[in-house]
Amino acid sequence: MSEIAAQAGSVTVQVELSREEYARVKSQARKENRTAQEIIPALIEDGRQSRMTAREIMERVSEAYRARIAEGGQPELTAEELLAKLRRDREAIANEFYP
Amino acid sequence: MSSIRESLVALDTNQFIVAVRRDSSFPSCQALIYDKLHLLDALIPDEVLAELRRNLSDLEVRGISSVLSRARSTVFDDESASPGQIRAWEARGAKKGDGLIAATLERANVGFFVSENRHFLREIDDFPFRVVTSEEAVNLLDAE
Repeated sequence: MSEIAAQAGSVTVQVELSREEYARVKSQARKENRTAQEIIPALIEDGRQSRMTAREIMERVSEAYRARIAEGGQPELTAEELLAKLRRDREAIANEFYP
Repeated sequence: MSSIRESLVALDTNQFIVAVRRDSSFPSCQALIYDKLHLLDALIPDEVLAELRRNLSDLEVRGISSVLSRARSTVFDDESASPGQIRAWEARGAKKGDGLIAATLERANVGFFVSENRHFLREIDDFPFRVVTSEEAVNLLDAE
């Protein structure tokens, strides 16, 4: 099941693609180390987002984020805790980039 | 002083995470990312992308990438700063991570860096770019 489906409740649909289009989808999936089944919902989402305003996209991203946090059952970090975590991440990533 | 509308503007990781959270402590982050990106020539350093991937799901990062396509222009800067450039910023008081960002922005000739990281603001002075909060960025955009 895709991440989108998992977060929104899933519906299974049958999609018909030309062989050429399916080959392009499989090629894209290989680049992302995912299966065609996993990547098709993301491609549909990308196509939908291409027609949305920045606000509409961010509202969808925010809803997905909130659903993920709620599902995880973890309390959300306060603003100060978040900024402190991001500072720690910055140091950790700098050390990964430049050991 | 250069105009934010006419400069390359780098956005820090915290701008996107706070906007995704709709954090009421930083309402201007939301205003900037949701409603004013189309006014900016945006630059996203590789380090910021790595930090976004660490804190958001693949789906959420894809959404952020889509949003960035709504900026007037967007540069995903994957050119590495040299260790010497980073060390130069560390010698001026920056932590390694902040030194990496500062070196990247200096090389890219960025005019503004939008961040809520007050430690970044405090530990270094005399930047070749202007460091502003989202509130300051929104005020500059509205005033120009």
